[in-house]
Amino acid sequence: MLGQAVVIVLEGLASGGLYVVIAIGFSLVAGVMRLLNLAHGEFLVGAAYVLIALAGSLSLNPFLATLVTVPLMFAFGYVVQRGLLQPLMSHGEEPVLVATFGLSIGAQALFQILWGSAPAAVISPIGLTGVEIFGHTMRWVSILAFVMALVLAGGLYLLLTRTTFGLSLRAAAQDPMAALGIGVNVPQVFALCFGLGAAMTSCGALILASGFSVEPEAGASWLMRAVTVMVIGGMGSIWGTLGAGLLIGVAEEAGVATLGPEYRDLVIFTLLLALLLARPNGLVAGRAS
Amino acid sequence: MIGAIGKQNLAGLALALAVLAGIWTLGSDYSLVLGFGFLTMASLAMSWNLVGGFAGQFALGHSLYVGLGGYAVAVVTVRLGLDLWLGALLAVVLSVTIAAATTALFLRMRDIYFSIATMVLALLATAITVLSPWLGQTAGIVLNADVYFTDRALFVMAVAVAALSLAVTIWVSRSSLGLSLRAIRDDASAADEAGVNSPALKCLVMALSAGLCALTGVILMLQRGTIEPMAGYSINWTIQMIMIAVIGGLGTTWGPLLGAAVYFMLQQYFEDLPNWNLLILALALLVVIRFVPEGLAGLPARLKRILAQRGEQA
Repeated sequence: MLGQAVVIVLEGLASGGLYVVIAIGFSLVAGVMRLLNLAHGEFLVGAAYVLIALAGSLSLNPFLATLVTVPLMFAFGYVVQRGLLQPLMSHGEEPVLVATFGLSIGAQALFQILWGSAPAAVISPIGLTGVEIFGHTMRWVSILAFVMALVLAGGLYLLLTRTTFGLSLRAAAQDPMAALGIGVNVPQVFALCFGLGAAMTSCGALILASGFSVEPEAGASWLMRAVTVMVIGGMGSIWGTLGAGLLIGVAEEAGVATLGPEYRDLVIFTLLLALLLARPNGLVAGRAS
Repeated sequence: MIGAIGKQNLAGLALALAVLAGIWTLGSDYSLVLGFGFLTMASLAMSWNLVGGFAGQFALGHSLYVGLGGYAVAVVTVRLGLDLWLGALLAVVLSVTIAAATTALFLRMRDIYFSIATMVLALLATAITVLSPWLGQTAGIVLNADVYFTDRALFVMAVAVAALSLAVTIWVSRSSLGLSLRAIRDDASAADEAGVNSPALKCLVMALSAGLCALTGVILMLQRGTIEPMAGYSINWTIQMIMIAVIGGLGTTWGPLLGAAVYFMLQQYFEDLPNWNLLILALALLVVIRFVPEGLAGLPARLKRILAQRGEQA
């Protein structure tokens, strides 16, 4: 009984860590820019596909490949915000949503064309070997997910509180017009923020590709996870995201252990709907604080 | 009568009637099947356009109502052994009720949370169906052999549903309801101050849209003869509706029909390469939303403006 509880907590913290890594960039963008990126799941899946391609064709170590995909996704995010989303932001929320929706559909079609519909993964020692903790063998990739969540949350906190960029970002989040007035280049800051969100998400691709697998249509279910974490943790709240992600991870493992794996979707979606009804604005917690 | 419909709409109606009559008299069975495909797609896009276009509510869960239409027919005829038309009635009543009730519950949500909440509804429907043996779990339900319609009969039903969707669209666009919805879309709090009852109207338009979607779901079910949760509630239905409505012109009367024509022709052309088709449509959607937000339906007016400006300069 105790053994089972230990497994639930350990595995829950590991999958929760992955949820944090996936949600933190999503929540940052939502909190700072008031923008919900419906293509967020495809950003993650796309980064994973590129990683798998690099690891496969160039036989690059997955960690080295991550050093390529993260800057690549940062640049991609920057360009998408500058070229597509920024000009639409003045027209209200619907055109921006439609545009990220279009990106999501286009990306899924592209994944199908380039990589087919079979699940893809990278074979890496961190996905296959592990270490024993309290009598339970944890895969290295699970430990990496947890550590990465802490590192990203801490790093983002330092970036936002200790740097000029962080200051401009918080100013732009609180009041874009006022920030413009005191000389903050808001479109530039927004584009960097969107790029940063994409880059943080693509860190999760390393875990996804070496610990699990990706399919062209997997993005939507990861998007839903990110939304759930954000609704509980609060839009743009770093520590809220960290706490909520880990909590959801453990709750999900516990739910699956008691009800059975076939109830996983029902549990998650009921929880999400209940949360949306209870916190219709989901942003009681501060923005980008 | 003409005044109530509008001159342009009348011309469009005449054209549409001529095309449909042509297919009906000259068409082979294959063209009737194609016509059915086009009309159901157009109907779905027209129903989504009521909510997404006229009212500016980016709903992402309309596949729920397509699936409900199919499942209502399947449950009423196969499980309960009752008449098909009771199934169609149940589909509409159920969809209208769910749509109005959930929209009322979701009223306090901001745009983006509303979108997510509607999407979760469709996902929940799938999750529940998969767990219920009575609903056939993942295997789904196959209609009884006696529920069978010829391609010609199905085509007529598709014409009827499309005509109803178009009639509702024209009515909404030309009535005070349409005006109020546009006011809500542009600025909900200002609309409320001006005396528009935005909560009631949001529920009403969602109910109208869901009812029409469910009717299309019913005839899609009659054509296919079988339904299972992954395909029945597939987000692909929602994707189709939104792509067609956006490319054709959000919040326009004829946009969804124009969009459906383009979508349908591309789909036929790329029959063997569905992913390329989807990629091209997604790019078209991005181009439209970025450069021509009024869609294909707005192109003539835009060209006229450009020509007029040229004329002034010359």
